[in-house]
Amino acid sequence: MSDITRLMSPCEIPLANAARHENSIMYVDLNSCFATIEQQARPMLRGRPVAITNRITKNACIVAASYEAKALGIKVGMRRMEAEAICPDLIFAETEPAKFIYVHQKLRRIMQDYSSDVIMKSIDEGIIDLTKRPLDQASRSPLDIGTEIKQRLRTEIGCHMRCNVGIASNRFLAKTAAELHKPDGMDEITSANQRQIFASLKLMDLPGINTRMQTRLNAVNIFTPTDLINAKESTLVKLVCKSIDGSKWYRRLRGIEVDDTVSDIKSIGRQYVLESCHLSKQELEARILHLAEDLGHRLRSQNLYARGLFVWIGTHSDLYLHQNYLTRSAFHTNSDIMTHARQLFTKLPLHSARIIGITLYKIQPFADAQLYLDQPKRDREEQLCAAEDKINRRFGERTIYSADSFNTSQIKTKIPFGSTRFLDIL
Amino acid sequence: MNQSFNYESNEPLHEIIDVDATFSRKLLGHCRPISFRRNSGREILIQEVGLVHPRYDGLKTTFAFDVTDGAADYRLVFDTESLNWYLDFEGDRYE
Repeated sequence: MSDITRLMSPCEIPLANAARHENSIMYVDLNSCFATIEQQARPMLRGRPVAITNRITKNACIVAASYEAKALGIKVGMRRMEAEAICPDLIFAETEPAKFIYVHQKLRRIMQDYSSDVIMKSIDEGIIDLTKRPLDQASRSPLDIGTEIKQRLRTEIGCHMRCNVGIASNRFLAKTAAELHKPDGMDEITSANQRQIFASLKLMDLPGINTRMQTRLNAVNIFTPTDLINAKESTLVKLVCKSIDGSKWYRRLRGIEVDDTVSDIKSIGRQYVLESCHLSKQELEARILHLAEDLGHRLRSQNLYARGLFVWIGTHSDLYLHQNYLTRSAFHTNSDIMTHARQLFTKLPLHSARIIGITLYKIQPFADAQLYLDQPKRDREEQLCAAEDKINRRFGERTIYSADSFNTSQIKTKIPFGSTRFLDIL
Repeated sequence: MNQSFNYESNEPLHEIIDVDATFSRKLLGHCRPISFRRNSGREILIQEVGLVHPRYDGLKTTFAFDVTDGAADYRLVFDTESLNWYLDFEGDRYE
């Protein structure tokens, strides 16, 4: 919290950026990222409805759609069959992590030319703190820099690349600004135009407001973003959020930064939609162990340990069943993860599974100080795992892997949507 | 329009091809394929290079060039170990 804010009582806090000299946060968001990259790579797809899925199967879920597809009513999250019923000419393409990671890295490098403080929020969006810009950029306006970033995307990645840029005094307002005019828009929210812009929005247009939050706001007669700005801090704290979050919302709406926190990894998970409902027990187990190996690799790549393992299945009748295991001793070797995963999955009715998933939780950055009776065996497993990781880093993913997860090449590396922490090992 | 193409789920063609390319520091990515000849003898003139991106398999790097001749999209791959060019994918042709 800035000194200015601390000295003021909450009711005195004015709207956006009065506490700062200028709008210094820039939000850059690639438009329909995966679909746009596919259209950039394959010029023949430009101007056509394109949907991106993780796998080309009948029930594949759309993870990105081009603007042409969106205009026809195709939405992210739709199943392939559903989308084809709306648009029979819809073109499907599978995600290709290497291509997306390349564009992500190019975008990050472009953004880093304008500040030493760049945070990538996900594979397709990032935040630039322009207060930390280099001296040669100091005299330039954020709008000028935003225009240059848009141009550089076109010249350095490809002519079809487009992005939205939002400029404001905090991340929340900058993201709101970035969402105002899609695709290829650039907007700035200032104290002068904030009320006017908010008057044209709905509550759910604001980042962080979902249906549940909207219901809570409606319950205290807040129906529009303008009502939300006008709400007292005490109303948001005591009646809406019933926590300090209410105060954060109050400040967020006034352009004060409350979202610049860095969170640790709390869990790492993977899921897999089974390609057939007629898989044998052995085939199912191989897929589970493949996921377990993959998670182990991600965990060790960050030098982390887990104490908990959570496995779950989604059934054909839309039931969600799970089992978990929590231990005092932290683990991260493939052998530990696979043993625990195997034990837990045997307790679930795998024959009815449509989708399987594993999550490691209670993540910690250190191993146990405790020595165990079977310590020499544990040390050997650690060394074996380290050797396996080294071979795979040198010769490629799954050059060496457990025989228990043999014949599971259909499980491909997926591109993570949220965290960018694991992009370097994909 | 042919709707049958399934770009990524097909196995790569991995057809060794002859490629004419220019190398210039003025070009984005420095290398630009101009045309390529398939085993059948067919020569394809490249109209646009859509995207060039590196792919890593362990320490081995290959460069994927997504290109078009104005009628179909192609994926050319340059292997930095063998210095060979491959045609990995041919997309459907559009009118």
